[in-house]
Amino acid sequence: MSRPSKLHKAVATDLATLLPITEENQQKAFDLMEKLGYTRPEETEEETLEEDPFKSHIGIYKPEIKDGKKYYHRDILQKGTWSFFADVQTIPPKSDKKRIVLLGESVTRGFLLDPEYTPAIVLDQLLKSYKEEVDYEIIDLAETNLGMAGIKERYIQCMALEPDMVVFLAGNNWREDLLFSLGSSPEKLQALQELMQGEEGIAAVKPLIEEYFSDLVDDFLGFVSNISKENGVPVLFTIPEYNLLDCKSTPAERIVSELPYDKLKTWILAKEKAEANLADGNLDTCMDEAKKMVEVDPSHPYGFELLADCSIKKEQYEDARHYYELARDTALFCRTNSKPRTFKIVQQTILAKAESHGIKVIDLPTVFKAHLDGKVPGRDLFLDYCHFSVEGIQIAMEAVYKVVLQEFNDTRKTHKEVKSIIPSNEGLALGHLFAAIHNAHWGQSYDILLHHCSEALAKSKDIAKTMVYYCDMISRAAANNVCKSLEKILEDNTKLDRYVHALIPARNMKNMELELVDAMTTVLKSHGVDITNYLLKIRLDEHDIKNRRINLLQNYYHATSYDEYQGQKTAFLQARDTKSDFFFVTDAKNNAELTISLRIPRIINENNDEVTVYVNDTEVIKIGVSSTWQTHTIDVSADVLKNGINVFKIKWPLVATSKEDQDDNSSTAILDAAFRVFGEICNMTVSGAQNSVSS
Amino acid sequence: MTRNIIGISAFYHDSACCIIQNGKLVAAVQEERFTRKKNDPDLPVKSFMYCLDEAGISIADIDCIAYYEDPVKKSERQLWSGSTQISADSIQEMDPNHVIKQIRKELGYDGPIKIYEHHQSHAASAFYFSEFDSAAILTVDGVGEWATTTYGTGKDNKVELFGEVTFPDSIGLLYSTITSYLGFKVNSGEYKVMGLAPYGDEKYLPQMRQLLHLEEDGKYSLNLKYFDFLRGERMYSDELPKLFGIPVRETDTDMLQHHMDIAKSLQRFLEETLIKMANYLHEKTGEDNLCMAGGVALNCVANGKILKNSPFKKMYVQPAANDSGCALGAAALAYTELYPEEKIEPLHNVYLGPHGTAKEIENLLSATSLKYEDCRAEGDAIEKVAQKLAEGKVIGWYNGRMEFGPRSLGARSILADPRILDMRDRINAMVKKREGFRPFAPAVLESKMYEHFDIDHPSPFMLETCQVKSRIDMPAITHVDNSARIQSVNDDHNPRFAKLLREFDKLTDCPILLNTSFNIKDEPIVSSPEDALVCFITTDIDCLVLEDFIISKEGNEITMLEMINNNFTERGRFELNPNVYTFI
Repeated sequence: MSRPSKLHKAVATDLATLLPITEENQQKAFDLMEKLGYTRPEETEEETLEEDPFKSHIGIYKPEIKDGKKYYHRDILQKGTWSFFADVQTIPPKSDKKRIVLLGESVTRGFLLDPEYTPAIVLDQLLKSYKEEVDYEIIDLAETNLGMAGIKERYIQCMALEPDMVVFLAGNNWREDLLFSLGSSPEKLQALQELMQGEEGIAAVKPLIEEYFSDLVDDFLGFVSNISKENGVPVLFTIPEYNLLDCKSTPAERIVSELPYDKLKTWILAKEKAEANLADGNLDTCMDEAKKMVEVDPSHPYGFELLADCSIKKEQYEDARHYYELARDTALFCRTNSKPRTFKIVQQTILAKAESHGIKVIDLPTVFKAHLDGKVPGRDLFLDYCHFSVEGIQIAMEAVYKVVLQEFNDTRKTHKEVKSIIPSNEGLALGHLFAAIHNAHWGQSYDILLHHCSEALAKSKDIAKTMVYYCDMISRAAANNVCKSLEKILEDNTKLDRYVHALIPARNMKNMELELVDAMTTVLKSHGVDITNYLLKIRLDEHDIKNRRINLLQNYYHATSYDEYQGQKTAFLQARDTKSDFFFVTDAKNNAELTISLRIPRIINENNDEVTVYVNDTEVIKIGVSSTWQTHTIDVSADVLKNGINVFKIKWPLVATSKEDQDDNSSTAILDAAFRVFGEICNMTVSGAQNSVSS
Repeated sequence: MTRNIIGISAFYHDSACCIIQNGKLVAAVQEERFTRKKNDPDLPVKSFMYCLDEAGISIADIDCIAYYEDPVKKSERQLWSGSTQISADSIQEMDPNHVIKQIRKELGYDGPIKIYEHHQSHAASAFYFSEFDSAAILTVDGVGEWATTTYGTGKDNKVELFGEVTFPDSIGLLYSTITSYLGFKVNSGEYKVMGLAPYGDEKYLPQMRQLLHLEEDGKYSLNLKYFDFLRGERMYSDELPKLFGIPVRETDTDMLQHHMDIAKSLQRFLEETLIKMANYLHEKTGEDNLCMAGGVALNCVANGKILKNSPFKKMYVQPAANDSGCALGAAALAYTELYPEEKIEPLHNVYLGPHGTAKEIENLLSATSLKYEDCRAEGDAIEKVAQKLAEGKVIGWYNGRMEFGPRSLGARSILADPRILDMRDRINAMVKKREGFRPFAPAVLESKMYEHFDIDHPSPFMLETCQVKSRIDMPAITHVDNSARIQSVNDDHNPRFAKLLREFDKLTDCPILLNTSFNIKDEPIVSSPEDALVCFITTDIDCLVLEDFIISKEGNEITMLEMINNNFTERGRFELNPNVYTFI
C-alpha cells in the first residue's frame, strides 16, 4: 500500500467542500476527482472465482451416482431450507416415464396445506389414475418465496433431470424483482420521481412502472423460451389468480397519498360519505363518492374496493372483478411490503407474448371465472391472498392435467374425479387454522378470520386446544418463542415444521391480534368452550395500566398486522391516515392518565389546529397541535373506560402543509414524498391515575 | 428548568446515544443492545428513544444534540485516501450533510445540532467524566476524521488538543492489522490478541519495530508496504507474512507457538510505544493526571504499564473508550459549551442502560413452562445465588440497569467460582464458544481486593491488569503470566453485586467471582430479561438470576424451548466486514 500524495490533501479538501455534488458544481467536482484519480477506469483484476460447491445441485438436492445412475438427495448442508421444498427425500434417476417438472413458488407448494396436500400430489394422482399407454412422474421443485430470479435458476438446474415437460405456476413474487430492477437503476428512479412532481402524485407513475414490469416479464419469457428450445423441452406456464373477493387492502395499505390540499380534502370527504352511504345501503351514492375517490387518487385501493363491494351487492360481477383488480394492482405503488400477487400487467404480458415464445399458457383467472360462472373468486378457491384452497388446487391442477394429456397425446377415456382427491380432516383443520393466523398477520378482516376458525373447528374438534394455546400466547407480553403455550402447540401438532415461523413474529413485531383472538374466542364459545374470562385475566395481569406506565408506541399496543411502510423508518410514529388507534388494558376502576407529545410537520399557516382524542369512540378532549412538538397530559375518566381492552383514537385535522424536501432520488425518498403524514407522535404513554378525578 | 443534551455516535461502528441532564449522565446505551446487531453502525434510533424515556423528557425538551464526528473532514480523509472502496460513482452519492439530515428526519429533532471532531469527543469523554480538575489527555484509535492519535489537556472545564498523528499512520490500525493476520476479527478480536500475548515470547519485537517508526513530538509513521487496508478487503499486504516468515493464520485453525510469539511481540511493542507517547505528553503538559480514550485505551495490559512507566500519578480510562463512548464526549463538549460555568458529574459507574422491572420479569417467567423461585418476599435471592456459586454452578446474572461500554460489570454477567480448576473450559464450552486460551476476569470485593491482587487503587471498570498475589488458587481468572484483569466492586456502585461477593466470601472465604459478559460468541451482550432468558435456554448456563427470580436448569425440562430458540428465532449477527477496519 502506498501513501497517498500530500499534494492531494488540498484537492480532497476542496472536493469534500463541494459535496454533495450538484449540477452547478459537477464540472468542478469532476476536475477534482480526476486529479485524485477517481475518474480513471478501474483496474480490473483477474478474479479467482471460487468453485461453487452447490453448482451441480438442483435446489436443495445434491447429485449422487449409484450403480451408474444419477440420484438427487436432499443435501444436509441445506437443511435450513428443506421446509421450503416438497417433502421428498430423493429424486430418482430418469426412467421411461414422462417426467414433468413442476416449478413455482408457495402457491405451487400448496402453502397452508403442504406437505399433506399439494398441487403436485393432485396432478400426480390425476395422471396416474386410469393411465393407459403413457406413464408419468411429477418432480415437485416448487420452492416457497421463490421470485423470478430464483425460478430462472431452478429452471436451468432442472434440465439436468431430463424433463419431458416443465410446468410453471408462478408470478406472485415478481414485484420484488421489479423493485430490485428499479432500485438498481438510478435512471429509472429519476424518471419515476420526475413523474411524481405533478398534481397527480404517485398515481402518475403507473404507466411507466407497468412498462418496466412488462419488459421484465417479456425478458423472462424470452429466457424460458431459449432454454426450452435448447433442450427441446416443452413449457406450460400457468398464470396464478388472486383472492379478489376476500383479500382487501390492509390499514397500512390504505395510507393516504400526498396530494394538493383541495384534492386531499375532496378525497377524505368522499371517503367519509362513501362509507356512510354504504353503511346505510345507499349503493349508488356510495359508488358516486367512491368514483370521486378514484378520480382524485387512483393509486389508493380503497375507492376501488368500495366500488367493487357495491358491484358485488348489485350482482354486477364483471364490474366488481374490474375494480378488485384495480385495487389489487395498487400494490405497485409500494405503500407496504404487500402480500404476493400477480398483477394485471404480468397476466396481460404473458397472454400477449408467451405464444410467440413458444410457451403454452393456462390463464387461471379465466379458468376460475368459468368455474364460478362468472363470479369473483374468494374464500371458496383461496385460503388467503393467493394460496389455493383444496378446491382451488383441484381446479387449477385439472386444467394443467388436460394440457399435459394433450402434450403427450394421451387419449385415455376415463379420468379420475378431481374432487375425490382430498386431504384429511386434520390436515384441513390445521390448514384453516393457519390460514386464519396468516390472514390476521396480513391485516385481513374479522369475517375472514372467523370463517377460517369456524372451518378449522368444523373439520377437527382437536384444533380447539391449539386455539386456546394460541390465544394465551398472543395475549402475553413475552415473546412467543419463550411461551409455554407455544411449546404446547408444537407438542400437540407434530407436523408443523413448515409453519412454526408463523407462530414466532420477528423481534418486537408481536401485536395483540385482537380480531383473531376474538374470532377464535367466538368460535370456541359456539363449541362450548368459553375462554373470555381466562383471557381477560391474562390481559389484565400482563398489560393493566394500574401502577405502571405503558408505552403505546410499542408495536404490541398499536400495530394490527405485519405489513410495514416502506419509506424511511423513524424513531417516532408517523400517522399516515386520518386516524390512529392505540390499545390498552385496564380494569376501569380508576381514571387513566394519557401523556402524548405530538406535532404536524411543516404546517404552512399555524391556526390553532386541534386533534381529537377518543376513548372507546367517546370524544374525551381536543388538544392543540402545531408544527413543533407539544406535550399534553390528559386525565381520562373511568366512566369511559371498559374492563379489558380499550382503544384510544387520535383523529388528525387536515392542515395545509408544505412538501417535504426531497433531496435524493432513493426509493425511500420517493415513497416519503408520495404519502401524506397527518401527524407525528414521539411519546405516548398511559398509566392508571392515582385517584378517580374526571377529565 | 432542566438542561438536556443528547450525544450521538453513529455511521461507523458501535453507534450509541446518551443524555446529560443537568450535568449528570443519566442514560447511555449502544444501539446493538436493542437491535441485536453486533457493532450496529446505524443511527441509534432505539437508544435515542430510550434515553428520552429514562430522562423523562420528550424531543421538545432537548436543548442540543451533539454529534461525535465531523462528516466534512471525514469525507476529506476518505477522498484523499484513494481507497478502492471509493469510486467516481460513490462520490456522487456522498453527502456530508446526511448526518444532520438523518438526525432531523429519523429522530424528528428540529433544534440545534453541534458537531465535534472524533478525537475531541474521545478526549472529552475521558476528561469530563474523570474526577480530575486538570489532566493530560491521550487518545488512540484506528482513525477518526484524520487523526489517529491526539495529545491534549483538560483544564478549566475545557479540552484542548495540541498535537496529533494522522491517517494512515495509526497504531490502532497496526494492532488491528496483526489481529487480522493472526486470524481474528478486526474491531472485536483485538482483545483476543491481548489475551494470547502472555503465552508467547517477544522474539518478533524487531520485526514489529519495522512496522512503525517513532518520530519526534509524539509523531510516528507506519511502514505502509506491510499494510493494505485501503483496498477494503484485508488489512495486511503480502509483505507482512514475509516479514515474520509465517503465513497468515486462517480463522479457527490451530494456534501455534509462533502466533503467540507474534501476539506477545505486538503487545510489547504497543506498550513501549504508548509509554513513549505518555512520556512525551507528560513532558509537554507537566500534568500529574492522565486521561485516556480511544479503542486502544481498552488494552488494559498496556494501561497498567503506562501508569507504571511514566511520570503520571493517576490515570483515568473512560470505560466505554471505543467509539460508542464518543457520544459521551460530544454531549459533554456541547454541555460545557452551552453552560460553561457548570461542571459535569464524574462517572462513578456505568449502569446507564435499561432494566427490567420485577413485574415484567414475573410476567415473562409466568408465560414460560419454567419452574422458578420468586425470592422477593424472603429477600434471600443473593444468599441462594451465593450458595449455587459455591456449589460450582455457572450463573447468568441480570441485575439492575445495563452497563454502558464493552465490559460486563455485574449487571449483565456470567458468574462462577474462580477457584474451580476446569471452570474456564466449562464456560468456554457451554456458553462462550471462544478460544480456550483466554482467562476470564475476576470481580472482587473492593474492601478485600488488596489481599489478593497487587494493586493500590480501585479498578471499577475492569480496565487494568495486575498480578495475582492471593493465597487462593484461582485458575479460571489467573493468566499464564499470573496477571488478572480485575473489577473492584463496592456498595456504592453496585450494592447487589457487592452483597453477592460478600455472601460468596462468607461461604468460601473467597471474595472473588469469575465475571464474564452475558452473551454468546458474536452476539451483543444481553439487554432485556427476555434476551437473558433466551441466552440461558440456548446455552448450558446452570442457573439464571433475573433480579429476585432464580431459574435453574435442574428440575426444568427445556428441550422444546431450546429447539424453538435455536431453530426458529433471529439471533444476533455481525453487521460489519470482520476482515477489514471500516473506513467508509
